[in-house]
Formats: sequence, structure tokens, C-alpha cells
Amino acid sequence: MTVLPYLAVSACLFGIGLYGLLSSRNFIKMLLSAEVIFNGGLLALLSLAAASGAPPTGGTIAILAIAIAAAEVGVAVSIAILMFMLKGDVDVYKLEKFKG
Amino acid sequence: MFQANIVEGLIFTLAAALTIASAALVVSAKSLVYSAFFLALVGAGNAVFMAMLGFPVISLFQLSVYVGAAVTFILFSITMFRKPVRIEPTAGILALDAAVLATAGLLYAFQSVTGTPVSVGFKEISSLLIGKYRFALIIASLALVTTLIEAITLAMRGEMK
Repeated sequence: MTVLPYLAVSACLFGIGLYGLLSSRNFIKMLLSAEVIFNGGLLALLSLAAASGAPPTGGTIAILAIAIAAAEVGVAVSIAILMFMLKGDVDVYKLEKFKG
Repeated sequence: MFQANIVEGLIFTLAAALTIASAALVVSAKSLVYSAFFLALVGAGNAVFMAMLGFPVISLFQLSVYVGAAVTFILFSITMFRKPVRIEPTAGILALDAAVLATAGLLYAFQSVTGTPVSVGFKEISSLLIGKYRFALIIASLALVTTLIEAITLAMRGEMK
């Protein structure tokens, strides 16, 4: 089996995540959609790494990307909790009032 | 050989169906708890693909760090909201157009890619991590520590209020 089917799945994940990101106003929902996009990107990275001449390099970058994504989730969820504590809502349209 | 190909194809089809259906449910579920649960399934499906592509170490890392820590963290954080979070009606058609266009563009770009999965072991990846990519590893570690400090600070701020 070639890597082409894996790339097709990654493109589908990217499209579904993009739809969720663009169509939602809820901060947590947008974060979850961004994570679906991240999963699609990660799968594309590893598929292309497997097809390239240097698979270990792609694997190393993938490990670093997963670690950074875990950190990013922590930051984003903390912001959402703080926003909910201060405003009682996680609607991104109300973010402009989220000052100080 | 032929039987191995059939089994591989079957596993791929099942994992692809699970991953894509779970991703659709992440976006469409009315409850954030269910969305986070389906994101864990997307991560698990992705881990299956990683193992099939020849990256078993990264597959385990994905399961332990991403599914085991990040998604579980989201799931527990959602329970911290004292009242149910409202989910507004979606802004449908434009978002759908953009998503279909992006998917079609990616499929077109990927169609010329050739190659077959390889096998990459722990030794190659760890030697790259502590060699060529050691600064990137330090930065990733610092990012994780910073997140930990930030989470503690926010928790203490909430406690003080």
C-alpha cells in the first residue's frame, strides 16, 4: 500500500477541522476543531516523511510537534477557563470586551 | 503476502472510517464532552495510521501524550465550567465551501506523491533528538514547563478570587 490513502485521510481531517473552526463561535469548540486540523497535518507530515528519503527526521519533528501541541492545549484551555470565570461565557465574539 | 495485504487494507479502512466519522462528530456534537471524547478517538485512529506507516514509537507517543494527556486535560477542564457552555448555531455554508475547497486542493496536491511506508525505530529518532534537534527538544521542554507554571498561576488566581 502506498502513502496516498493516508494523505487522502489527512486532507479529509483538515477539511472537517477547517469547517468546524470557521463555523463555530465557541472557544472550546474552535480549539477542538483546530486539534482535528493538527491531527490531519501530523498524518500528512508522517506520510510525506515515509515517502521521502529521511523518515527519522520527519518522525523527530512529529514528536516535537505533539509535545508543542500538548502545551498549546494547556494554554488555550487555561485562557478559556479564565474567560469563563470573568465573563461567564466562551463566545469568541465577546473577546473584544475581554480586556484587563 | 496476499493475505497480509488484505488484512492491512481492512485495518486501514476501519481506522479511516473511525477517524473521519469521529472528526465529523467532534465538529457536529452538541455537547463539548462528547466532542472531546471523539477527539480522543481521532487521536487513537491517527496512532493506528502512524504505526501502519512504520512509526510505532511516535504512535505510542501520540497515544500517551496526545490522547492520554492533552485530550484528557480538555475533557476534565470542560467539567470545570460550572454551568453548561452554550453552543451557538453554526455559520454553515461559507465554512463548508472553504472546507471543501481546501480538501480538494490538498487531494490535488497530494496525488503526485509516491512511496511506500518504511520502518523507523526508536534508536534513529532518539539519536536525532539528542543530536541534531537537541535545541528544539529543549525549547519543547521549556514550553511544557511554562504551560505547567501558567496552569498553576491561573488555578491560584481562581482560588484567590
